Amino acid sequence: MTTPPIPHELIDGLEVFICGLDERGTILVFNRPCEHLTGLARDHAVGKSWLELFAIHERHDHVHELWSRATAGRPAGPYEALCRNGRSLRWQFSRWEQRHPSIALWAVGFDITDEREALARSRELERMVTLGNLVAGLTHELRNPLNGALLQLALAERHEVRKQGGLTPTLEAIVQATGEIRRISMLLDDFLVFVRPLPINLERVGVRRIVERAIARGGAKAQAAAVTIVLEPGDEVAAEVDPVRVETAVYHLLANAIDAASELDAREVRIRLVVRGNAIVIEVEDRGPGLPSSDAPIFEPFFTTKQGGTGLGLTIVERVAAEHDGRISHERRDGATVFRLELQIVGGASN
Amino acid sequence: MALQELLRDEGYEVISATGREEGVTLATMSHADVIIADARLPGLDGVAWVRELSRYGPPPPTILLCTRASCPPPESGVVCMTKPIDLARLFRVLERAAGPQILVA
Repeated sequence: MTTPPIPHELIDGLEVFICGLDERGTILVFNRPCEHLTGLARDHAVGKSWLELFAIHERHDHVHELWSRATAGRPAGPYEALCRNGRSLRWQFSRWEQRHPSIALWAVGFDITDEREALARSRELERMVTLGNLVAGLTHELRNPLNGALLQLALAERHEVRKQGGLTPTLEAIVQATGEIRRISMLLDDFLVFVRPLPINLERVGVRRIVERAIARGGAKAQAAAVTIVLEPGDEVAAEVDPVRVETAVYHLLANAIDAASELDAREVRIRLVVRGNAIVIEVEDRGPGLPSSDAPIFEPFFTTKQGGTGLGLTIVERVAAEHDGRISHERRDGATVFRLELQIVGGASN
Repeated sequence: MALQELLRDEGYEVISATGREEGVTLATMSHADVIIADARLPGLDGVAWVRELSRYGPPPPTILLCTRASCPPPESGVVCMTKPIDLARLFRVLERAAGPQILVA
């Protein structure tokens, strides 16, 4: 019986990684996705040890054990590994010796990076919801003692005014404390909007129109800071999104950009819509000083670099992105800071 | 209670009730011009309490103090104010709504 040729035209076209190995794990078959993944041409990969290429040394025993367990009808696995280029792979090993006696084992790998990321994002969302419920409860509870404290202060203020007239140090302290409590109260209001999200409401709408509304909402702030907002010309793009949420997210990006731009002479914020594949990207750009450092935890709740900031703006933006199966990213480009909110054109909502 | 003292200081006559039963009794007996009720009354939540009150005839204008940023008014004639209360606003509302007698429950 002659050995049939390896059907390269078939295995090269699949979006899975396929390696044929001999009993010792030496590579005999190496499909094109494997070439892309490793940057190694087939001719160079053949003859090399699969373990050296795809498994770190500490885990060789684990792979050997899977190989010994794999039988013709029952693949062994999964073996999950991180590749040098940062992708995550899930491998299965199976035996199918009849057709190609020289090949003892087939290693079939799937790229699970996106799946992993989606899982991580949905876990994060879940965590935020749990946390949100807890904090919403706490927030409501806090209002009672705050109310009590504020009423006592109002009373003390009246007594003091009657007793002394004029602005005494005590009165000054009372007024200050009252102001602080009002500030806490405002923070709670902001926070409640964040922790108690309304159900997501996807509609087919023009994203440009939403951006224009966000710009209108940021108008007063921009004017006060003498910052010009420029919406770069372009066509309307329809997408399935929650218009209220997206407007809020764009508004927060704009508000940050306005704050940054107000710190220098080039008082301009640019905003543009870019269609990229299946996604619409809203880019907000300012030429301000940029982030304090590239790894500052800017999306974490309460992280702020601004006096009087609540540190919730970008957290809200990130949340809106996650709710739309989109993403938020940022970069420093030619002296400008660009925040990029990417949304799926065809409804990606994850709740 | 500080709120009662502040209201008296503003010149209102204040009757106070603690708890649900006393609140209902006083509300129906006293002919108060306005009721200010805490949404977190002992034994009953404020919204349900206001509803119960309306079974004994139309209650006077009622201000419900609650801890939610947006709490839906249970009935017409009920104003919801979020804690911590904005005293200036409370006094403005009272001025529009009230005669001199207030029941705080």
